[in-house]
Amino acid sequence: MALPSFMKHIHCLEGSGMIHTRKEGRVRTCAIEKKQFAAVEAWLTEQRALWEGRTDRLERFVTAARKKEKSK
Amino acid sequence: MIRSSNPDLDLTIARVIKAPRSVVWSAWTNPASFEQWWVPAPAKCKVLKMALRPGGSFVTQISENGGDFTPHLSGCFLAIDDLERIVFTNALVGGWRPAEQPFMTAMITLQDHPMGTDYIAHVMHKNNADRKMHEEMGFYDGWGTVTEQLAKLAEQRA
Repeated sequence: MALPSFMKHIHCLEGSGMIHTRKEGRVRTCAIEKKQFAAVEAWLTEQRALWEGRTDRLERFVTAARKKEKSK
Repeated sequence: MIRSSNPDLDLTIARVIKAPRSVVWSAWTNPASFEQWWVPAPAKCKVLKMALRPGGSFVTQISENGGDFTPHLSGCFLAIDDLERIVFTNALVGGWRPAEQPFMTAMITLQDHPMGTDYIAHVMHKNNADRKMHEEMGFYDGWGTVTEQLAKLAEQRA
């Protein structure tokens, strides 16, 4: 990969806050922003909890409806 | 069925539900039934549109704490395979018109299982950068509420 293309990727990551970089002379050092990664993970965990909740409620709804029908 | 997978952006919920496929299907596709489980109590859900066909509009509203109904989900169905599969997205609205704030496509599949129905929800997200926007939008049924629901459910079963 050519350096300019590589820098585009780096800037994209830096722009989204996933990494921070600092340049000393000709050397650029990149470091991962742990907080940002954790936040991303937490977001997906939240989406998962939302869908888990929905699935739980659907399950309860259909099994409760079945019990009612049977007892009729 | 082609199913792409990206562990950073996707989630899959798989569950065996002890009820026949037709019962689970009707709980999903009958608006009056859907309203009873889509959001966690005490919030209320109202289905404004549920046009079960590709391109059909899927619009719901939510009422929290007895307040007015406000927009919740606004999307479009992509595929409806009777008793088998429901695919919808909020990247498009009814009639395949591009949506303002797209972020996910959900694929619900139902299969027969000896105990009832094999229910799978596969949800694909656009990216995580939208996260902040969801927070600002006050993404409703989040972590806290759902955990509470789960706790209640577990207690009932214990």
